Amino acid sequence: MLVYADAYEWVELPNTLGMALFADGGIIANKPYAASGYPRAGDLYVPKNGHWKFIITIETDFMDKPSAITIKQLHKSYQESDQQQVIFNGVEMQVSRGEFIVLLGRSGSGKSTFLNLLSGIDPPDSGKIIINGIDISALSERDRTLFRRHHIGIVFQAYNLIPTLTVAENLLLPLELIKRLTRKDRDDVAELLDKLKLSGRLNSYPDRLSGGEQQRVAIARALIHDPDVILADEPTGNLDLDTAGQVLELLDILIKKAGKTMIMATHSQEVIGQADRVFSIRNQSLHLE
Amino acid sequence: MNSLLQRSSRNFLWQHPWQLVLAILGIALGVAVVIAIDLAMESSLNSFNQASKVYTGAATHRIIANDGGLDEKLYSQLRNKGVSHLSPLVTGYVKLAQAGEDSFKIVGIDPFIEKSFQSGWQSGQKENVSPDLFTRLMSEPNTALLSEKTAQNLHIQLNGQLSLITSRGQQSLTIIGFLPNTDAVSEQVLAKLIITDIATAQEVLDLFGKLSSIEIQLATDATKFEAAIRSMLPGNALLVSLDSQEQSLREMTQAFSINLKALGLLSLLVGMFLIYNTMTFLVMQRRRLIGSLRLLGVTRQQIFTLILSEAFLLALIGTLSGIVLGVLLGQGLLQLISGTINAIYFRIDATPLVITPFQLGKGMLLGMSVTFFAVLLPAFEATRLSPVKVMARSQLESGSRRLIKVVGFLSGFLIIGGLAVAFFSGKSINLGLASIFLILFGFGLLTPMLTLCLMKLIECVFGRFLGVLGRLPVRMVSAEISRTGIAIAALMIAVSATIGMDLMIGSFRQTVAQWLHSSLPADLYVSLPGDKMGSDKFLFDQQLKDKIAQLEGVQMVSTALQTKLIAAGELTKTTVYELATKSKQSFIFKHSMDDSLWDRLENQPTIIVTEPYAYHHALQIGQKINLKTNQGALGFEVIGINADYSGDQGHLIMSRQIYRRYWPDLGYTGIGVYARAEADLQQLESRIGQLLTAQQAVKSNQAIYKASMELFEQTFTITEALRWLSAAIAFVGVFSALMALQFERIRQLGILRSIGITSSQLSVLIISETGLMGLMAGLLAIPVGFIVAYVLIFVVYQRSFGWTMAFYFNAGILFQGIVLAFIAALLAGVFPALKMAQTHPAEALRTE
Amino acid sequence: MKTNYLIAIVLLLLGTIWLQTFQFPSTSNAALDSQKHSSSAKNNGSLGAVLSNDSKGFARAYKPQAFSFPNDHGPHNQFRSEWWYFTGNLNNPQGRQFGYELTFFRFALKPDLPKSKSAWRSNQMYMAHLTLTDVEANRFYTDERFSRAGNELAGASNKSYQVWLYDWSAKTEGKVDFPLRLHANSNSFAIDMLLTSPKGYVKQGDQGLSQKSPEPGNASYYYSYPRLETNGTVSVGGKPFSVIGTSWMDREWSTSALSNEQSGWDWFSLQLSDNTELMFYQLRRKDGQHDSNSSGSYITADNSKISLKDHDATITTLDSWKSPHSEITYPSRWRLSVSSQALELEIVPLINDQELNVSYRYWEGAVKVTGTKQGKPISGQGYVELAGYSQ
Repeated sequence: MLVYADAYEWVELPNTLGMALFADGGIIANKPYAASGYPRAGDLYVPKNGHWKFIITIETDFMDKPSAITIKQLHKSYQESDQQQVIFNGVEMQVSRGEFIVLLGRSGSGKSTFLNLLSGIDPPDSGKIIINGIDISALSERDRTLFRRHHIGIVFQAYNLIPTLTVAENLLLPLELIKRLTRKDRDDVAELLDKLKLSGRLNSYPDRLSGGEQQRVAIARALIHDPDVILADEPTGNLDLDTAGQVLELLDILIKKAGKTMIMATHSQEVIGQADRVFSIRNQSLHLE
Repeated sequence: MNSLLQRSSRNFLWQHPWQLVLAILGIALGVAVVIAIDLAMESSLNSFNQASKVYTGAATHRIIANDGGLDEKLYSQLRNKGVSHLSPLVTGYVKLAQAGEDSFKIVGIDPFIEKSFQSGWQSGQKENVSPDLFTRLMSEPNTALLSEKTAQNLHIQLNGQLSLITSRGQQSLTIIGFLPNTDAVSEQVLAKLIITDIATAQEVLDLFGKLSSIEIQLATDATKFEAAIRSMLPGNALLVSLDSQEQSLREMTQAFSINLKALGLLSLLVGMFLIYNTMTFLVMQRRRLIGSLRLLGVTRQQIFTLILSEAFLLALIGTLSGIVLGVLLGQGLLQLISGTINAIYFRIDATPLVITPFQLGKGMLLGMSVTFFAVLLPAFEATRLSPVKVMARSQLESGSRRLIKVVGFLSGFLIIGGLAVAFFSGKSINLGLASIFLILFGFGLLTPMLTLCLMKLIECVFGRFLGVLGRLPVRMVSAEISRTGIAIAALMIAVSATIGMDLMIGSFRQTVAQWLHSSLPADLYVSLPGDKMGSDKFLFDQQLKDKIAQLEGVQMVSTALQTKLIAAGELTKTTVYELATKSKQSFIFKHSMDDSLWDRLENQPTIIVTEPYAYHHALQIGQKINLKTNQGALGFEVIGINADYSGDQGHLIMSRQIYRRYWPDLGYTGIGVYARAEADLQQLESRIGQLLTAQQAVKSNQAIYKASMELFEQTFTITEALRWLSAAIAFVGVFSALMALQFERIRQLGILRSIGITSSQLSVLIISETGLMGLMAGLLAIPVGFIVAYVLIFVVYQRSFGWTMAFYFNAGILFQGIVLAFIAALLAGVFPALKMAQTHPAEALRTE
Repeated sequence: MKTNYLIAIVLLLLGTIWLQTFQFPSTSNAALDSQKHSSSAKNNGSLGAVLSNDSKGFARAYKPQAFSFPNDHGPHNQFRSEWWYFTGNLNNPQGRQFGYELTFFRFALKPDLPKSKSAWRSNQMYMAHLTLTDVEANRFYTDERFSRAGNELAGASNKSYQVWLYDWSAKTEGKVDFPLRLHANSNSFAIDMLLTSPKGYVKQGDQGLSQKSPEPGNASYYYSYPRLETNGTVSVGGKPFSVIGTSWMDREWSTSALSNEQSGWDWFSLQLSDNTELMFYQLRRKDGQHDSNSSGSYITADNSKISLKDHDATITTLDSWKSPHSEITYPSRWRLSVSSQALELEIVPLINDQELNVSYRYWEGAVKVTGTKQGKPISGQGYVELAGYSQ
């Protein structure tokens, strides 16, 4: 995958991370490498030959990306006491950019597992999960985490805000994980919360918020770092109908309209109606409804 | 229902093996330390009895004398006047010619005393201890009985020879029989004992005409008889009951014992925190389960009983393993404790660890009750859980925050109360120690509040630089203050105790060092050991002194005789000085004085007492002490009180001139040699060395200083060891708290991971939090340690031992304290951090 | 359920309290010697246990020697064993009968005394026995003591009659021997007696040489004071009784007496109402056969002695008594006839249980004598010693 022919040296880093080093001292790193959190344009890097190099740019688009998510021959099973519990057996799926997919399935059918596999929280037993051209199933746990940090936003049924951080801090944390926080980031957070009608709650702790409010903050947290893919696991499951409606509206505005890819596990009929495609999980496989 | 309830509880416990193990470890360690101290201390004291039982048997009383020994004619007088049930003893210590062996105690007995004594050598007679053996022992010179085991160890066959080195040179005893040892205890007791006939003992030890003591077996109501015996005793002899003698030994070591036991209690209290922590964890973790059970109709009482029964089980296992551990630990402490007792109180010959059901029962009760006490709060908390609404952790936290404020107030009372107790509790050591516990406990209670404040402060000051992720550990500390606060408190208590004791020992060391410097004015010291009963020892000593004084380069000599006089009905250590002008400067008086003091000391019946003696006997200058002289009782006026750290019972100081007026000459135990300025000390030392016998020795004042300081350090080894034990328990406590804490927030950590925090970042997060806790504990421990040191120095030690010492501040100790707390907490955090980092986020998210 | 646990806690507490009363194993006080001190004594067979069999280096009794006093009242340390033997029958004014024995034994453990500066170094061992027979109460009290001769704890004097062990003593209040004071007390009983000798002593055997077995040297030097007027006090349980009566003293020293075939002796010392006395010892053989070395003497009222050989006296055992303490069966009633004196006596112990359960167990008891001498009734009293019996 050597793109630049005049590269002085192509440094293969673990998995798909890599960078091209140039004789003039410049580096072009690919995006997964950038995702590892180290380099920024202008950072120093010392390659094997010992000469200082500058990272001159971070190239994000030098790999082909036919679709947002490609899943090939996905197998996943759990060992439960003595029994091998097969969850997925050869799942195939293609998701286009900006597509909104809804997952249906009985509880225990593997919806959450599927989302965990996509987010890289869980590795598959075999098969490929390619997101934005990167096969996350081939990444190490650490690299999957770094990947997730940059590319994935997650909304949980149980909101899962960090109880020891204020609302604002909860939102700032994902940002801080990918870059140094700036004044602007704080303003952005304030702005976003304003949009969510939570501006007064900036410095509240999550447990002071209602369920709907918490979920709105959780959605904001999933979006704040501008991820490519949003994974939502029954985001309205804990909410009453009205609040659920508000939350879904919010998702619609913030995610779908922003052209993000979203995969949501839900039972909500209302949501199913809005989905581009609806899959259900049956017999260890995905079935288009 | 009940069994189901119990099964649900048991399953839950099994799912948290770490907590289970740590809780049990906590109780076990606490109980172990307490039991170990108790066993070792009691065994050390009992060994004194045990060993002497072998040759005193069922004696109830004893006639003892000062170092001059008893005249053997006293025995025949008593016997011929019809006093029966007497057992004369001649005892002394000898070294085996065989290298590497400790000294053995020779006990010369009369084999034909009343059988009712049932002494070790009389009773338990087997085939090998027959009357025939006794007649041989008596009629054949240089025959002896030895423990079978010892004989085996020394490879001595029956009728084999045992070579000894005594003051008269090498001597040989024929082992004609073995003392039967019935059990491990008697085996130990007999290990270093040689039983001979009294004549042989006199011959070997060169103690002709003397007895060491006469053991008496009196009926219980023999006060008249006692009085009759007393009336027959000469001036230097004293009739004491063995009970009272044992009592006085106990009293002598009481301060030492109390201080040790306090350290043991400290360990137990820290262990109690562990239990509290675990039980709280077990309740908190199951609040959903308990809520469900309550919904199903389980009553509060059943929940309460459930928690108690769990605690009972834990306590039982913990206490039992603690007992086993305690016995093992006791074995180790025994050497340290008996070593210390040997060094500063009295000679203990053999110390087997004696385990009594009483002591084990005590440990059992202590372990069980501490557990029950620790579990009460969590148990009540569990019953409080409403069946309908299970409270969120954060709500509980805000509840505990309120509690913390209340507790803050309470802690203020405790601290002030503790200080008040410290300063207004008179002479009581127990109260002094209690005050330290109050202060420690008070500050422990205050710790959560102070932690909250400090965390807020840290955030205010550093928040900007830290970022959200950096703020997280600070937040976590304060968010779960009910857990972190207790862990910090436990660590703080252990560290402040360490700081306090370090400061105290340091101050003590400085004080002693200064005192030693000034109290060793002579250049060389000659020690003249050996039994003062030796009939003509004083003549030899006198000759030696004259020879030394005539040596070239010797400016002057002083002498000292350490002996015992009967003061107020008790044998009291007394040092009899023949002071050189220079040696007078070595006295550090606790009051102003002038030179007339020395005149009076030389010419009038006056004495100087050491500070501990004055303290224990509430003596002041001008008061009189009644001493039993050979011409009857005489009041000696106290004309001086001087600093002395050589023992905690204190002693009397008398001039030789006065001493000789009332008591027989026993020679010297030491000669101080003052060299001329131009003299070559090494040369002088070797020249004096040539004048000495094998048992005598000459040492420079530096060498004595060094040896004394080594002894000083040795006496604190036990304290040191115990302190580390309680620190270790605190460490386990912090570890367990952190484990529990991490377990409780496993879901939160899962969320963090799902957001994209890597496992190593998570580890750093957790370790930062625990490091922060350690730092907090260390910071708090400094002032608390200071207060503890202050109370120890000026209250407890002064009361215990009668010593006053100066407070020496050592910044290094404070630094060490912080580092200790920090590192302990960091270390305690490492494992939970790694474990949490390894936990799969998917599983972490699945919990609850 | 809750109550179950409360019970458990209570049990635990009780358990602890129970444990509290548990005594430290070795601090249990041994009881002081009781008046039954003797019953706890060990019995290791015979006095021979104390003595070695090897008589080398000791003096032996080969031929008669003239006794000289007070020298011969004192110890003969070169002989292996020696005793000062007092027995007596006493009455208080109300006729209450008592018997007593006070004996001092001396044993040489070695022929030589090693040189030593220690006053305790000694080769001489003393043992003393004290018994009191309280006939009315049917009680027999014993006590024994041991001590070496060193450090003035025990000994005997050859300057005047004095033998002592601790505070038990027989000591003259005169210049040489009589009046002689016996003084000894035990925890529960005591004697204090003054002995006078109106009749004097007799040399037993062949002018004081008493052959015990055929081997030369297996003999003792033996003299007796057969009739000592006695008055003094005996105390039982702190209660004093002033008594008068008659005592007998035996003095005997030897190195070896019995032969290997001999197992013991029955010894009779009888004081008869006609101011005559009879002493006879019958030696017993291990094989149960008659021992021809038995002998005795009959002392007439004028203190002249008639030697009795083995065949001069016939002793018939009429009854026996089994000791409940030792399970040993002793003869307990005898008919003794001395045909040459036409003496027919029946001897009955005042009480049966006069067994000394001391280190060396034997029976020594006060007896009553009835019978006829030359057809006329005669009575008397005395002591019988039964030694060397076993189960």
